[in-house]
Amino acid sequence: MLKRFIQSWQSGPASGDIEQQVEEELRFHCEMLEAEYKERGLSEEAAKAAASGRFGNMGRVQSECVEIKRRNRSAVKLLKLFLLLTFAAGVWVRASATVIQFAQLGDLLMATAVLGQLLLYVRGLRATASVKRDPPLSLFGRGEASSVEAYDELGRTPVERLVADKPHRDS
Amino acid sequence: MTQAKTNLMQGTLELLILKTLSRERLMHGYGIAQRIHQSVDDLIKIEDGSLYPALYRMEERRWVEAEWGVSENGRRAKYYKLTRAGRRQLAAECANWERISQAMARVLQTA
Repeated sequence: MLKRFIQSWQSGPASGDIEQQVEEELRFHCEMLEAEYKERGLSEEAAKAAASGRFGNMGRVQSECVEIKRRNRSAVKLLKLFLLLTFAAGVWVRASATVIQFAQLGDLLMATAVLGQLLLYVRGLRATASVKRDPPLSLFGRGEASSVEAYDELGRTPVERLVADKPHRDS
Repeated sequence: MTQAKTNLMQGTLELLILKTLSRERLMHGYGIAQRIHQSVDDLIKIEDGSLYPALYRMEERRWVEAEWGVSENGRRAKYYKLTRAGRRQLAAECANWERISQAMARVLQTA
């Protein structure tokens, strides 16, 4: 836990480094795909085209990954810094308080900081509301792909709608 | 014979990734994609690129951890492994999938 705490506070990659690292990771994947298709006997151009087709839209994937990396970084870091300063202030107030009200204020500050850290931890465990849905996978006949949107206004899939709409039977 | 077309539930990709990572200690994105393709054969169409936003979101939720390493061909690659929270999530999603499948089977049998 201490190691994770320290790692979470390390400065991490700068904004430009995030893009570079994401691109490096995706580029590795594409090059492995190209090598795979070349091993199957495709020419360099055909292998590149096949790899691109199998990977999908590189630009869209890259920008989405960078957005995911960035959105959590700056806001959460600021919040963590604020909570750390709040905790430190609470400790200082508590330690130097000569009046009971100030000691209680110190307790309140520390409790606020601890609660805030706990909420951040829980947030990390739960899916956030702003997380985009994964694109639906599809079963398809050979050479075809489904393009039907399956979510209703409540965000339910066909299976969930069927289960929810199934009439209750008398026991 | 034509095969049925249908959309799978959201989160299925994450379930596939979690299950794949549960079998290996460390895998990079290409390896995960390969394993998934081998497992599902041609039944499910997956763009390899779609794995990465899912992996990044799972990393955000601390279901997976990532670290840079050297691949089998000497290239630098980012490896992913399942965390304890990820294993719990996998168990929960498998149970949910089982429940939905049983409900679906029951509905189809009575239809």
